[in-house]
Amino acid sequence: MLNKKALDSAVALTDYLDEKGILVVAVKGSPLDVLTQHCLNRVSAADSTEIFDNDKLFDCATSICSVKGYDEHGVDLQELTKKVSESVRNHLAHARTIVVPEVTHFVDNITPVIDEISRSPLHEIEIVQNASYGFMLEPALLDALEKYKDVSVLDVTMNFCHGTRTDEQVLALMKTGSVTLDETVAIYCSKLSAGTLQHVWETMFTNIPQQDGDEFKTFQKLINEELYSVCRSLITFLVAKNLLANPQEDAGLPLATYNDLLQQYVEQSALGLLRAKYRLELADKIGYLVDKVVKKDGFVKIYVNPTLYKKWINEGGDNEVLFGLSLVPNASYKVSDINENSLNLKANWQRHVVMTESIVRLKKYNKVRDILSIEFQTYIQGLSSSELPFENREQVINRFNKSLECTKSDEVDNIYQLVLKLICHARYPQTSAYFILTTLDKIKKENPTMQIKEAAAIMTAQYIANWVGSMFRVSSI
Amino acid sequence: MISKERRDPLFLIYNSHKRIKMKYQESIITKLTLANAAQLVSNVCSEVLNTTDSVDNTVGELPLNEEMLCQLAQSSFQGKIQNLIKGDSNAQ
Repeated sequence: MLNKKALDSAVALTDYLDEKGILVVAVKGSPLDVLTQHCLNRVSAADSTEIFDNDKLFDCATSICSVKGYDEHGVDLQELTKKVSESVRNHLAHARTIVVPEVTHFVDNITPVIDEISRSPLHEIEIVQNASYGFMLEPALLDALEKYKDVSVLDVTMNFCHGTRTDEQVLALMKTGSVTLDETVAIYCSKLSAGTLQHVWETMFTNIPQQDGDEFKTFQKLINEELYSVCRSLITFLVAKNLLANPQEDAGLPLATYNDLLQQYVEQSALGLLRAKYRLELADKIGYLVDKVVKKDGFVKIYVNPTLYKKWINEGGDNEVLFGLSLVPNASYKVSDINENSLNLKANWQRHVVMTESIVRLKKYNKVRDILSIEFQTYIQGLSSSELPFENREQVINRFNKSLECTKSDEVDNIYQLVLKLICHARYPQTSAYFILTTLDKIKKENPTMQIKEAAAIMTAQYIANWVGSMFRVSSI
Repeated sequence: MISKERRDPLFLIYNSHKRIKMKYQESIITKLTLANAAQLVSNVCSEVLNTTDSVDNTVGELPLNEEMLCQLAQSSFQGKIQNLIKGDSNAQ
């Protein structure tokens, strides 16, 4: 029997459709038509000339046919509910237990490759503030270095055979006896990544092989190498000075040779520190905002003078100007020149961003389609004949490729949704899996705090409503 | 030239009543179609939710009762009917 709540729920939409002059009927012969006809027959049988309100219409539409003597509507509705709910349950279970695991497995297989091709060079540029070399202002160190300013540059033979030392042990070997210098050095060392002190020790004072091959570099190369020169010079200088006073037993050299070599280490590393000090003073004096731009393995690092950089940013400096600077070969790194060209540099960067994004998007679109096509072939080959009979495979692949051809460029941004669409169209075109899973996804996106089970309940109602709605036919009154 | 019959006030009143009655009948058809459709959704959905582990028969604190299911169904129907109307006007 028709429910009063169902009839009441139809009032608002009926009024709206009446106003628009739209008639909604059920498709002839459909299950909805059968149910509706039962009610319409009862209303017609009443043969009343008066206009019914909703209560009267309900009474009339739900009255029992005196000839048949039973509730035909109720019987048909019950039977239909049983049949349809069985089918809905099967569709839901199929989507949940067959399609979702297949799509998830497929996506998991391609995710590492997709992540790799999604990398944008625009995200691989960074500004690095040069470490603050507080120890360069320490009188104890400056006095010690001053003695070596006239020493000639010499490439020292690296013959030490000491055993390894931990970071803490190396730091202990760097102690000078000056409380303030030792504190400043300790602060500097605490900001280095773990293992740095040990690595410099092993490179300079042992013959232990290193993963990065540093043991094959010459002393001068190590001391003057970009990025690491100050760090290596400082550690080598302080440690060598300490070892001169306190020789270690595991050096593997006669004492005289050991002392001569240490003396050369002290002199050459002191020169390295003096050169670094000169560079820093010059940078401050001339106003070098950028120290260097290093491009390695697709990553760009712009090293800046920390004092000048902070001042420049506070005065309205924009990082995009520095990004633009990294694109210009042989550009001036002076703050005055950078400010003078800031508009051009920023515009350069913004043009570069637009072009890069467009190139990356196009490349990604093409590559994702290739990857999906290859992965789908592998996926089909991996299915048994019971999962997909051999005679149907070509047809399935054709459907997949056809859907893939129609893929829009923005669809590759959501790989899960794209794979879901392609697999549902290719493998399960006769099922409701795509509707069920995309509706669930949409509900979850629109209601982020909703629990998955609740979203599933709403999806189920919408899925059934979609099927029932397919039995509507509309016409103008 | 308007026929004598069409100028007759009684004919005009009769015709207007006829139009109202027709509209009323069509409104009843729409209402009963939508009501039966909503009831079918509500019944099937309740049956499925009561026998499926993976879904919950609540939304937040509210139970997914008959009334709520009927309202959910009507809002889905509205979208569906609007698409059908659009499809019709596109076809024209």
